[in-house]
Amino acid sequence: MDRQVEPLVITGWGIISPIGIGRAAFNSSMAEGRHGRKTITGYANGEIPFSEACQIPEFEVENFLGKKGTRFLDRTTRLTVATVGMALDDGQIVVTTDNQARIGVVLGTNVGSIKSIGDFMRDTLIHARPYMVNPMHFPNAVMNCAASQSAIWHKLKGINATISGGRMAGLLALRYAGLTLRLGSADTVLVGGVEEFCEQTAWAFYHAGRVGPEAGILLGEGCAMFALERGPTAQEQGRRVLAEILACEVGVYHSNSVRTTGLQLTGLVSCIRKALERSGSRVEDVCAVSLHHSGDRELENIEDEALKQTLPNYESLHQLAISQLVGECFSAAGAFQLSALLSFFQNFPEHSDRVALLTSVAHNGSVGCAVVRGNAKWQQ
Amino acid sequence: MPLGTIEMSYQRVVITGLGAVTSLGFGGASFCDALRQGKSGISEIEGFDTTGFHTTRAGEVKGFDPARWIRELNPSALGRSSQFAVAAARMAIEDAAIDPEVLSHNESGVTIGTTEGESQLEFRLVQKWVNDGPASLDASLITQTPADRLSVSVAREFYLHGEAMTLSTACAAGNYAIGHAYDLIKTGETDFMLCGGVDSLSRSALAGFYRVGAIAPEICQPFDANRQGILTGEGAGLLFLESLASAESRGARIYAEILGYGTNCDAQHMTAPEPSSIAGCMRLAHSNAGISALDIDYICAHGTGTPLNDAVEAEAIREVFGNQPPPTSAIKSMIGHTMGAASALGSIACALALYHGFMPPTINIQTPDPKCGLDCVPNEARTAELKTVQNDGFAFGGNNAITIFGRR
Repeated sequence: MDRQVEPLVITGWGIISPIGIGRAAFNSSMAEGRHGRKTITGYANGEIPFSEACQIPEFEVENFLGKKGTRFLDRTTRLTVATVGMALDDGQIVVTTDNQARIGVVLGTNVGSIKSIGDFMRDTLIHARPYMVNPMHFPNAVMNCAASQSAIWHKLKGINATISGGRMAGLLALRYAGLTLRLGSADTVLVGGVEEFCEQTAWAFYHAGRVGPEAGILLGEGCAMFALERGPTAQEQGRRVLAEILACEVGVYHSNSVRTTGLQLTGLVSCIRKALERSGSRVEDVCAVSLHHSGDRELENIEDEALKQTLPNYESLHQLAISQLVGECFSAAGAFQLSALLSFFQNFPEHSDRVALLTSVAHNGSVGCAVVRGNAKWQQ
Repeated sequence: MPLGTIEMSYQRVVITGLGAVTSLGFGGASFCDALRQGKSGISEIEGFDTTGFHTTRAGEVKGFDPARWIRELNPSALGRSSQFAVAAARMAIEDAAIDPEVLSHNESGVTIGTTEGESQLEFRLVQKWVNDGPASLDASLITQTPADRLSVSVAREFYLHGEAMTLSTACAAGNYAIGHAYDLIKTGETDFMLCGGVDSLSRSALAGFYRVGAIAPEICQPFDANRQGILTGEGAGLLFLESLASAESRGARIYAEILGYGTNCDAQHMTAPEPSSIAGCMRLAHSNAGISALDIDYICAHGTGTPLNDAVEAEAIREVFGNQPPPTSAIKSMIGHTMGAASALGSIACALALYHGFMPPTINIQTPDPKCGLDCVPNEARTAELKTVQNDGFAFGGNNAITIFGRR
């Protein structure tokens, strides 16, 4: 039998999403089922292979960080720095010289800002000499830029990690942050995921056939960050607890000879069972599931089938599919799935002391499941 | 002390397998020989067009045949970084003399650190975009590009069903990956881990570092009074980790024990390192490893070879160790700056140093910089019985990670 793990608590939440900036706006959009679909702005005709996306054109970094020092920050970094600030404010976490070494950032991403990387590489090709690049853009082209800039802006000197996880980024970041906290390597970790809308991502997803009219899903963007702490820390600090992360399990189940889907299904089933067992929860306790469900029929089937096999009452549970509202947000998807659960617990107070599952399935054979419990004592 | 439920019985964590892909050769044994002989792996860049660059030398891996190590996956469907990672993983597993079947039937995972992931694939896509427009991009190339491929490809090649994580904390990423894998074994979350770092030679990194004046013209000479900068490099370093109990029960050769690690963040500046924060990271690593600075017999430096970086590292070392710091050498003098692989290859150098009893040299030293005030083990390896050693890893963004190893 797998050992139970110590729950971790979410004490702050920041979100910049296509359906709202800040949790109040996000919650009401969730309650109303409002969609983030917009006509793409900011790009000339033909620059983007789609006409619609779940963009966040109303996000202006100056509103969060002021006017100074933001000029050279790319969108991934702007979104992250602003969202980390929102999560700190939301949790009333005050960073001081006494606690700053104990507060860290764990950010889930794909490759950082692919726009910064792509534009930097482009500059090495289009000028007279390959090194005629803008040195101010060089640090942006490194994948840890957003997490590091978040540390610089908010003076967070604790563990600072960037995890390239794609669709798995949210769960992997939660696992990394969780182990860090349980081992006492930090007291507070700002953890989450980010994805920016840009021409590079749009064309990549277009060619991969994973977003657009045929895939039935639009490309999204945004960032969600959570202040994560151990229960005793939160209690000492008098923090309000939004929800608890009870367990988080991941794995890779890919067969190079037989069809992958069967093995991946078995893998997700075992992840869900293990996560439930380690969370100390029973199948009957589960009231909702937060799915990745972003238009890929095969992956959606794996997710649904695994949940059916593990939760006998799956069909009657609340099934949240946040990607249907915010679009395919790739490495921010897991953080948005968790946001959807926080919103669910708030919008359905009768379920707020029960548990919910969050599942992720990736094209590369990765699977994962987190168990999240609401907190009935928390009222907005 | 944490009051959580997982600290009940911590495992001791040991290194029982090494895999290295470097400009000095393939496998832990050839890396070891090269370190002892103070060989240089620097050569003229062949992997990309260097037209327009004034510096055309790097620690490039040459003669690499992926099919020699990659058996389950199709090598041509992997980027160069993933190929390096899988190859180094196979070397580490073979070196550990463990049946891969055992790995897939137990909790086994993989953590890989990287600075630029599949940068060569990204560059090919950008080049195609510039030449023929975005509508011309190749979908199969796009799906090979995400950096999570580095760890997931290793998991897929060896059917590891545990956690596969790619840590992209730039040039300290190798140590981050080793630290996280250590935590997973220590807490009993995982039975076996492959961990380390990978990067491929990158044209845009050469351009960026050149633009900021950080590239040396010919040779890399960390801690020398006339040092002129880094040379870029590439490769992979992977370590096979298991608990001491597991290693003993299967009679495995133990290179070294991981005593602990420390990470922190300068939170000051994206590119300029901060000595007091780096000193703080060293103290944190010592404290987590349950040792004091006096116990450290040798430091495998981050030692990039730029005037500023080496001065800052030396200042931090003197702050922590006082006026007689332990010998401190930089293997980047031999293999260049292998970015995400750098601190992983440094960790492998430490494991080899402990096991075989020597200190790798800093080559290309003409005049040791008196301002650094370090014994940089100039030009020739030194025989030494080492007990406890430190491996530094620092990165853009002020991400610091330091690992501590002990002799078994």
